[in-house]
Amino acid sequence: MNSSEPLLSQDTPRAIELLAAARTHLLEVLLPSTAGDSRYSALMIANALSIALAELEQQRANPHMSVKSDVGEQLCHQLRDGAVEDLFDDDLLKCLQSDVDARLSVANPKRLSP
Amino acid sequence: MMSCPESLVEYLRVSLNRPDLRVDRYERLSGGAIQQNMALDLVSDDAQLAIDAVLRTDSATSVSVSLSRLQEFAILQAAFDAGVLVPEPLLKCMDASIIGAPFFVMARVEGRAQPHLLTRKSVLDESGREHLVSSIGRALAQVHAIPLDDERLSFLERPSSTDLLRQRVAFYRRCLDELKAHRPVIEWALAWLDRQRIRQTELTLCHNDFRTGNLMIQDDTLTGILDWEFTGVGDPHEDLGWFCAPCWRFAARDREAGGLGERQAFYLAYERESGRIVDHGTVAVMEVLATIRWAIIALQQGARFDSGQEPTLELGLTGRMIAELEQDLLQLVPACERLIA
Repeated sequence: MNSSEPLLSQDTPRAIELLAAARTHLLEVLLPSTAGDSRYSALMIANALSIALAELEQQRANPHMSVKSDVGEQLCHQLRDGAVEDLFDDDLLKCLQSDVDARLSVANPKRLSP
Repeated sequence: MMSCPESLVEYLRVSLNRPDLRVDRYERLSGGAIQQNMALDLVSDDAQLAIDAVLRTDSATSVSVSLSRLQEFAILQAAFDAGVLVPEPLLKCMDASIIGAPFFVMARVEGRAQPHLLTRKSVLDESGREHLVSSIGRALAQVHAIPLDDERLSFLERPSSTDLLRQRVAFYRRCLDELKAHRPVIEWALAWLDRQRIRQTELTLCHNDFRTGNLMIQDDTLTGILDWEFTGVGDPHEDLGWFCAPCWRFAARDREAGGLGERQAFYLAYERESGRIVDHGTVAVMEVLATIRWAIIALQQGARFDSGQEPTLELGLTGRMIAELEQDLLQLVPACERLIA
């Protein structure tokens, strides 16, 4: 046996489940006893936890998702240079919408288009 | 409660000519990142003086586009003298040694600036909402009627060109470049905006941050307009667009006048007071512009967080608002295109 190799044990609950429990505790246990500025703070924290959770869940569901792409940058240059004639082209709108949807589903799923 | 610096008490005694003045309350009010607001209760021994006031000064962080506190004071004076609903400006101090920065003092206004509360359903009934947005429309028209030739306002920059839309587009493109941000949806909206032509309107004083969160409201009436630090000269439709933009309606997205009431009542009151017709198409374009402006501010605040300059939760969450602002743009631009076609 090679004892210099890391054992890589993993304990549970994992990050996602811990964050979900923290959020529930915040909303169900702490929030009811807050008011005014404290309540606003608690709601902000709950919001941040929701975003973090959704991001981790998205990563878990898409483990091979690449982090960055040049395509968006290229599109920006084309739009800036006036090279896109039809701003209401179906494919263009679908492409922009799907990019926003991917980020909305993490940051604010209530705002996703029906 | 904090204790009021002795240097400030002395200064107030001299400025108001009240040697027996006391500061009964000196407390931080919730305010912006750019300025600090302190509640200040001024009383005299003989009870002749009893002013509930607000002291306004700069925070450590300041933004180049906002006016200095002394310039803001001049605007408050011009607005107050023109009969606009603003807190009464009482005194200003250019001496930074008193509390560490120039400041001014104004009377407190009754009511609250609570957009989250006000945009909830149960708070006001239909007629209350109509009364409220009418009082707001009337007040905005009065803002736009503040005389530009008032000497105290000579520091305000006049726009260098008559094509305000083109200027705004160029400015926001520069902001994106400074952020090194690649935002296809914002570039798309700017490309669309760049192709629009709006009817030229007479330039007026514009508040430039006229939204529900900056309005003091008591029951169903406007009691004061706050935060004049972005005041400038421009197309009055820009203020109308900022107020009506979906991004500023909080939970009440179907109430198009600031999340508080109907657009029609707001426009009607504005038109009656100003004698000017509101160009609906221009306001729609200005709502797109407003959303772009707020999106860029959100990116800037997110960048402050990322840089480590100010990694506060509020800034971080503002940075992550960008997706819903881009969603607003994807919905607004085609709707506006249909409206003005």
